[in-house]
Amino acid sequence: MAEAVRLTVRPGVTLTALQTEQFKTGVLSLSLLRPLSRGEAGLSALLPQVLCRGSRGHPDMTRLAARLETLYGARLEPAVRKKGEVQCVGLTAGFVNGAYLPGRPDQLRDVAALMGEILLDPAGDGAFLPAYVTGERAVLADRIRAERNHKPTYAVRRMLAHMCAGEAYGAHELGEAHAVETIEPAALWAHYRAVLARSQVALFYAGPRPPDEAADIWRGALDALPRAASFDGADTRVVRTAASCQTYEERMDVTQGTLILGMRLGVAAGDAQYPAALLAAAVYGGTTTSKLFLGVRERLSLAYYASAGLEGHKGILVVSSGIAVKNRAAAQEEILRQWAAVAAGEISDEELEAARLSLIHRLRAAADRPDRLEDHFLGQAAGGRTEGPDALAERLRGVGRSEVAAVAAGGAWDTVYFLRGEETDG
Amino acid sequence: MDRIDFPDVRETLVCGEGPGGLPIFVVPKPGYRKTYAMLAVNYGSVDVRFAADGIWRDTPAGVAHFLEHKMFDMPDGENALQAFARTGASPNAFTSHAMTAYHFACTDRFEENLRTLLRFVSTPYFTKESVDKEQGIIGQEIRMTEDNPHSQVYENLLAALYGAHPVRLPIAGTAASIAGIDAEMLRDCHATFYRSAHMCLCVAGDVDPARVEAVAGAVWPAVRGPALTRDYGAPSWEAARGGVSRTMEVARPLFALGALCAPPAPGTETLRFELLGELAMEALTGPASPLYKTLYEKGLINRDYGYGLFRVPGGACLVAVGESPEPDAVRAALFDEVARLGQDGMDAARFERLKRAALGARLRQMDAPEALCRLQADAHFAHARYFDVPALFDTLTPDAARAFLCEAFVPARAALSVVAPVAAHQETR
Repeated sequence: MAEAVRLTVRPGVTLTALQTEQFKTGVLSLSLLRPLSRGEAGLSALLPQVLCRGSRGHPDMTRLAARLETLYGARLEPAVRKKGEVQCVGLTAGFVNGAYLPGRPDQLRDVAALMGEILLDPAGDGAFLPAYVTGERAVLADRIRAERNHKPTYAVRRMLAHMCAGEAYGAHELGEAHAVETIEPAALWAHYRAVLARSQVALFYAGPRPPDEAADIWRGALDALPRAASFDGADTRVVRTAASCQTYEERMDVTQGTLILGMRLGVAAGDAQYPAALLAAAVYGGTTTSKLFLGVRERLSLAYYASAGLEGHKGILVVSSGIAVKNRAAAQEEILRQWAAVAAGEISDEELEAARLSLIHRLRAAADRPDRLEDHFLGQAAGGRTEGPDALAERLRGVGRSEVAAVAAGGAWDTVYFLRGEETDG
Repeated sequence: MDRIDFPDVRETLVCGEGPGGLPIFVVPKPGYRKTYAMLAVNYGSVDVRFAADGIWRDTPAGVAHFLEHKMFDMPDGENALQAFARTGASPNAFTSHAMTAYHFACTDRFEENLRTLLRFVSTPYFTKESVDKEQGIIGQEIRMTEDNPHSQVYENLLAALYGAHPVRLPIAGTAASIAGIDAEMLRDCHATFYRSAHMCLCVAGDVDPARVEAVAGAVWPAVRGPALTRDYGAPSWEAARGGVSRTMEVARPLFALGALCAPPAPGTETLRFELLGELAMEALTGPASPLYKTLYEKGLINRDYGYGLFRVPGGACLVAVGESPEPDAVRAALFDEVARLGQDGMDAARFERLKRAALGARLRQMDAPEALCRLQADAHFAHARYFDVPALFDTLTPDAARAFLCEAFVPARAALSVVAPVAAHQETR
């Protein structure tokens, strides 16, 4: 596989391009990089939803969907993602490369042009159509409220909201439901015009065409993108320690308990010890041979699932577990005990190598998934970095047990969140 | 081994046979770093009543899934997951209504991982202690599903549609049904289903197909297995109940609407049936349909709305699922639109566009080794080949799609399942 190349397409607009003949699918994405904030998140999140209702060339969902069908079922969707404290707002697309289709159509040019049209030439005349704004704000507010339907992810979100209540990271990338519901068309239009000009833009392409050709195509598609004299900065503040550990409990009409713990690890994606932090998280709870899986689930049968993951941009370790309510104290004790073991360097050669090989496998296998590469490189762009998954995999090879233990010893538990039902025997 | 080229989609399927006649399918993917292998068993949650060599057995709901959990234990005290961990491979397994499958993806030491896969799936090792312990773990998993409104709305739909077919039972069973599962029953079901005649091995990646066959030849037991008859209850083309509703912790009501179809004949006809059902639903309620626009603009559906064809052995239905403040209104609108299409017919140009989009979606799917292996295993158990799908598009007509919809969307064949919100909750510190 070729290396990813980063090119400047226009001022403040960079393209990460990956030339590869491996896939039938081509992938494109376009993201405005916004500093995540409670005040702005809902406005920015609503933008791609409203834009995807229609452009002047394809003024409603029906015509837009029909156009995508004509492009052999190309997928083109609004995307709002949180990469640390950067809110990435835009569009993602996947389409069949022209070489696999009758008549070899230039799918890349057509899909990029459609993305440019959706971003820059919305339906309406110098204003959003009010029905699109009121419709989409209701849909978005419902979607935010619906997150509680899925308890495991809802519980992680609640824990992080408590943990980072005073930080930008505590903001929801979709905004808050009640604020989203009151967004007026005129205010959204003003926001749209401002962020179009003032945002850094991250573009992505993976497919068979050379990077400069992809850059030219993007340049053409984004010709009308206004550019300000300077751009809004967007980066992530890493909080490296916790003063004390707070506990929160929430009750719902559920049968199972969901126990989530958050730790300030003190190490984030830009740091030299990041590979050691990844390994610590993997040894602890990242694989089916990890301490949490074997200790909490297999040996003690305290949970159906128990795992840990690293929010690398922010340097937060998150432990998730699904438990019976009566097992809460025992499960939490075991979760803390297993981390203490990692910090004490009680890691067997087998555990360390299994975690390392598993991480390396996942990073290297990303090369077979253009959508995963897209997400990886968006995270890199948001963090001002360019490292590909292969380079990170290489850095993992040299990390030893003492470095893993040292990173783990520097972590501090910050927040415990427990979602539970009313019964005590659940 | 036989190489079959599919030049239209530029894919190749290499077919071989392992011990006892184990079917082997390899899809070479040059340039891929990851190799994916799936060992699939034609044994799902619906297979609760069956005859092996003429002897009938009734088993409690959840045995296929329970077996999947216990297969990873090995007699030497090791767990197969540990063997995979030594190579960095990522193993997993799943049980669906129709199939149990064990799979791994790796970027290194493929043959070693393949040996591990074939060995642990062919080695039953169940003790009373380990089965008792698993009851607890699966009990938690069942509770997790019970707290998931999306699972509940779907399970309730299937239970409303099917009065007799075991697709009405949850895949993992219930707390009560799994209490009746013991080590002997697991051994018995393993000896019945986990045999070459009822399984297949699918591999996709940059591998030499002959090596796959060689490894299987060295590891897999040469046992063909018993002749099987499966009983899914008396076939019925009428919904057992028209509606079912319950409350849960959800923000807005969730719904799942289903309409029963007569299941297809085996073979390529099954693939054609699935494709036609999917295109018919796309025409009825896909994003470019007039109905979608109406429902969306009225706020009756949102972008989470989904639809398609659901098929298991002995049963099939068209489904539409989503969130809606008024599920009954969505149901009524779908029926009205089917009636309109029944009268006015389906726009031929639009149907051609839908075929083009469906072809594109399938081509994109062929980039994913995981999807290819699962689709080929599914197709094989239906006596078909997945790569035959693209050639079927030419045989599909708008009239056939219209007839498909009109046959299914009859009130007596349909059911609506709803999960409605309970009252607000509180949070304490």
